[in-house]
Amino acid sequence: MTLTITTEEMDRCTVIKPSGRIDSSNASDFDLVLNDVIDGGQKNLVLDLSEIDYMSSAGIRAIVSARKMVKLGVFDGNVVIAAPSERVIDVLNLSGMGRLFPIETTVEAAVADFAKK
Amino acid sequence: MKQTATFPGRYAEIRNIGRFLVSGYDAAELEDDARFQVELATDEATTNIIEHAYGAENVGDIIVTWETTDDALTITLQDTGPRFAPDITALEQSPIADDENLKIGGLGLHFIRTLMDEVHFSYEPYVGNTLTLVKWRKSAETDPILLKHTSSGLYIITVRGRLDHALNAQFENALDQLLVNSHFRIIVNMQHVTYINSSGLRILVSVWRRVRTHDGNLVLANLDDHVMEVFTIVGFDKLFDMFDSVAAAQAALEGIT
Repeated sequence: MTLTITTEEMDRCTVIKPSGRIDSSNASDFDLVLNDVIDGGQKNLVLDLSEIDYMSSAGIRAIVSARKMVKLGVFDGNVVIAAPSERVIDVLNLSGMGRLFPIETTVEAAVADFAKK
Repeated sequence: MKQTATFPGRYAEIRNIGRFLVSGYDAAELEDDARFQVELATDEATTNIIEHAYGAENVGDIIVTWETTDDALTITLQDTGPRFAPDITALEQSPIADDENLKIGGLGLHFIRTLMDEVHFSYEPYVGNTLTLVKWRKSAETDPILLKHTSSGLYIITVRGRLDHALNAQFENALDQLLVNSHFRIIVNMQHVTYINSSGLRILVSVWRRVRTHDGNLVLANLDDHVMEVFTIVGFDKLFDMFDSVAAAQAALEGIT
């Protein structure tokens, strides 16, 4: 199942919005887009998860490895999670990531997190 | 109820396995949260089988079975790969909880173990691995008197707790409802009954008499030793038909039409 992912460049960050469900069959698509954005020099990522109704540990892996990459090097960036559904919050908490990542209830708030810096 | 289907060992099948399980959720009357938890655990288990037992996609099939019992929905996943039995007890902590050490291996197993009530692995040479995932049915855990009917028209009452002043009124009421509606073939599952007093016994005998006059029967299943002793002392062990399991009681009652 292909995952539809849109990316939008903002002033200080890039918003990445996958939609549908993320499992082992398509997490590599998500991974690929995250890598592309980071390889392009962007280290501030907002993951808009408002249209993800289901995510397995495969999705968590992609997000954790993106976080690792933006934290490398001199200018470290961050990954902010925006608008996750209750199910996705369950999965984040289950993985222990709930307290590791900033989580905002809206994309606007997540984007504003970077503007503050 | 029980259903089995075989799926090719491909990640794209995860969704199809999820769909196959829906009839199991319905049969077990699982709530939304439990459905999500079982779906996610099965997804993670399927991924592990493809990744670790088979080592790649399209190497072998996965046989998925769901089965409902009075107390639980049980999912089994069988593969034909080499032995794969990770140490599930070591994974109670999330493997990525530690910021400094973002090791993400074993996350799927951590999910499985956290989401399910019971997890078992077994391996048989020349057959393969079997992973068993059990989700307890919430209603079965909490309702003191749980009434179910089978497709063959039997009624099964599962009682949880003490058949004394605590539950007798509710128990008698549930049985009366069956008789009023002309259901005369009844199994009382005593598995979780820890005590029965004389009025509990009186209720059972009274209902037994009434169903007998309609050519039905009321039988007992899964009595524990203490409760059995009470029946033996008053001689009721000779009055009631008693069975070691609900399934055996069902088989016996299905002979009556």
